[in-house]
Order: sequence, then C-alpha cells, then structure tokens
Amino acid sequence: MGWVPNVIISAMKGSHVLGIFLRVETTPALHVWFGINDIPAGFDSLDGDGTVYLGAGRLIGVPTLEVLVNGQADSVDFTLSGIDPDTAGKLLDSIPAVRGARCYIGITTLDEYYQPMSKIIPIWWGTASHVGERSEIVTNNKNQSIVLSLSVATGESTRSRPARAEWNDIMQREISPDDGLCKQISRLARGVAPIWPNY
Amino acid sequence: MATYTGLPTLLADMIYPQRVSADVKGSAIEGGRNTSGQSQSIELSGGGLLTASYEDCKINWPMQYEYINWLGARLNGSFRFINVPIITDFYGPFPIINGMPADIIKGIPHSDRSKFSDDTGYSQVTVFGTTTAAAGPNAGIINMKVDGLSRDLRYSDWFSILHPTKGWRAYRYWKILSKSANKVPVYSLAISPPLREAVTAGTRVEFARPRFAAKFPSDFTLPSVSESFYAIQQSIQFEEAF
Repeated sequence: MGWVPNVIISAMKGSHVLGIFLRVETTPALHVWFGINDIPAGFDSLDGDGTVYLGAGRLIGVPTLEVLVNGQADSVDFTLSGIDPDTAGKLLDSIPAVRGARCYIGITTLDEYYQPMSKIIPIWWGTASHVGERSEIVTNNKNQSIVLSLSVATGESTRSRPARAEWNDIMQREISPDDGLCKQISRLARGVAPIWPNY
Repeated sequence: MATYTGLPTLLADMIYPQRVSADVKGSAIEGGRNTSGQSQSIELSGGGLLTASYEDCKINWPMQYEYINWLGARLNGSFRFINVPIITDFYGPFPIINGMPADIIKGIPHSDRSKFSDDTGYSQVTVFGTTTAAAGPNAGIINMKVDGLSRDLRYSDWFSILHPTKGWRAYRYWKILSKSANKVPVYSLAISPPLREAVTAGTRVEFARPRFAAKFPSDFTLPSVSESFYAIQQSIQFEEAF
C-alpha cells in the first residue's frame, strides 16, 4: 500500500465522489471541505475522533490543485463561494490568528453512501498568509454574493524553507559536501539525454 | 447565525402552481478522457443541493397577490428562509380514498360528530415513519419503520425530517437495503442527499408533503406584479438553505 490506499486508487479509476478538505491550524482549528453539508472526517493523528468538517460551498478553480501538487507554484488562493454565514463568520473572526497558521490540504473519495473511504490523505501543506473578501458590484435587482479567499504560501514567499519535493546539487552538498549524486540534475531537468560513455 | 427552525411553510395550494419540480443538483466536473473522448466524472459536492421551482403560479385573487408580495418581502435577498413542500400527493405511498391518493385526511369531526365553527375538522397524515436507530451527520443509510403504507417502499419516495437546528430537510432513498417481515415493516434505506444533521432513534419521518428549509437562489428575486385583468403567472425558484 502506497501513500494513497489501493481502494482509493481503484475508486478514482472510474467516476467517483471526491472530497477535498482544508484544515487551518488556528485555535480552535478550522475544518472546511468543498462539499455542501457537514461531514465527519479527519486527518490521521491531526484530528481526533468525531471531527466534523463544515460544508463550505463549492471550490472555484480546481486546476490550482494540480499546480500545487506538481510543485509549480509557491502560493495559491483558495476561493469559496456560497458560504453559509456560520462558516464565513468563523473564518473572518479569526483573521488575526489565521496569519502564519499551517494549512493542510487533503483528499479522499466518498463511497456510494457518501462516507469517506479512508482517513483524509494529506497532499500539500502551506502557511496561511492573508484572507480576502470579494464582492462584485451588481446592477439591477441582482443580489450580492460574497467570495472569500485565503492565500496560502510556501517556499520563497515565506522565510521558511520551500516545501517542494525537489533535489538539487547545492542542497545535497549542504548535507554531504563530497556527494555528487545530484550534480547532473540541472542538465537532466532541461531534457538533455546523456550519452553512455564508450570505453 | 442563520435559523432554520420555526419557519413558515409555503402555502403550495394557495398559489396554484402549474408545475412543481424538485431536483438535487450536484456539481460534477469532468475527469480524464480516454482515447474515444469519453470522460469519467468527479462529483465534488458530496451529495448535492436540493432545489425546487414552482412554475407559472396562477395569481388571480387579491389574497394571492398579497401572499406573493409577502414572499418577495420575506425572501428577496436570499437570506431569510421558508419551508417548501415537495408535491408527492399523486405518487407517494398513500392510501386511495374517494378515488384519490390521500396524504392527509382532512375534516375529521369531534367525537360527537360536530366540526369546528368554520366547518373544518381535524386533519391527520396517513403515512409516517419513525427512525429505529440513531444516525450521524452525513449518514447515507437510515433505518425506519413506516406506518400506514399502501404499498411497499420500492423505487424511491421523498420524505422529510425535522432536525433540531437544521430544520426541515427532505431526502429520498435510492436503494432498499433490507426490509423486515413485521406488520409495520422496518426498512433500511440508502438515502440521497446524505443526512444534514444527526438523528436519534424515534425521530418522526414525514411522508405527507415532504418539505425542506429553502431560500431563493442568489440570482433570483420575486417581483410584485400587477397587470390588466389581474391574472398573472409567476415562477418561483428555491434552493436548500445553508
């Protein structure tokens, strides 16, 4: 069994129900997920039994997750729309404390009875930077709607070390000065095909 | 903090809708494609959102105008709520009385056969359920016994539960997992959407005019209209309140 359990992988091979979970480590921690109603779920060893993730509307801009997971971006904005007043209030009330809090993103699939098929599988973490509240100007008799966003940063946007899954020669030599294991990485990353030496 | 309990219920019979639809809307996105271009889908909302629309309500009488005006006054802005019934009178598991399926029996007299001074009697539902086991929030399976059924629960039926904080919520089952052989059968039902709030054993389940706490969708408002000859049609949209 790998990082993602086999049952989840086989569920994802077909059409499935996916839950995306966001845990912001404020005190108390904020648990939201991008579904509609509240769901009991938890990150292993982070959330105790009986943790309930609040349904927080629908996620706009799912492709950003791909950017995150492939390590192509250092920060990302999570936007939520259709937020119920309870969740919005809790998020906005915690603005001073949310800065610098660690944010975890995890996924799991739901079975046909809408139950999580595993503990939430963590796939990325970052540091909460700031929240934004956007409300478009509306005309006529249209109603206002509120979009809340939370910027989460990692790597160069913060003073901490980047949390990217990458190796390079400099980092490897900091750990072990005479180790040349990673010295070809910059060539290989450009797509150079090294010629096998002919003795 | 939004309140979902103690809401008034939409007077469905008063506004003469031509067509009432109830629907559960999910938000599926497309997944990867195979070489022939078919894609799998990924559902992200975890069960979907209940919506209803009352189409072409025939508004003729001053009282109906008043009522429509009240609906607009109360619900415009999409932050106040109302309980919206789903019309299942025709196909619900109700007994046939006087040639019509009867979800609610009206006009029941006192024991001395007299009625109230305005000639109405008591009313009572014909079919109702009682949960037999507790179920947690987001549960996809509930167990209940159902009294007064005129037929088995077989394909799907709407029903609603009054939750202590989330108010009325409507569900329907999509699969019968088991049915006991008792005279009042106990069913184990797979429901959709999942339970909005935990239920305890012994909670009443309503089959007659199932209803759910609803608001206007955020892009909808109900104008107050006046027209020559005072016969107008208006459509009203609702979505589940959160």
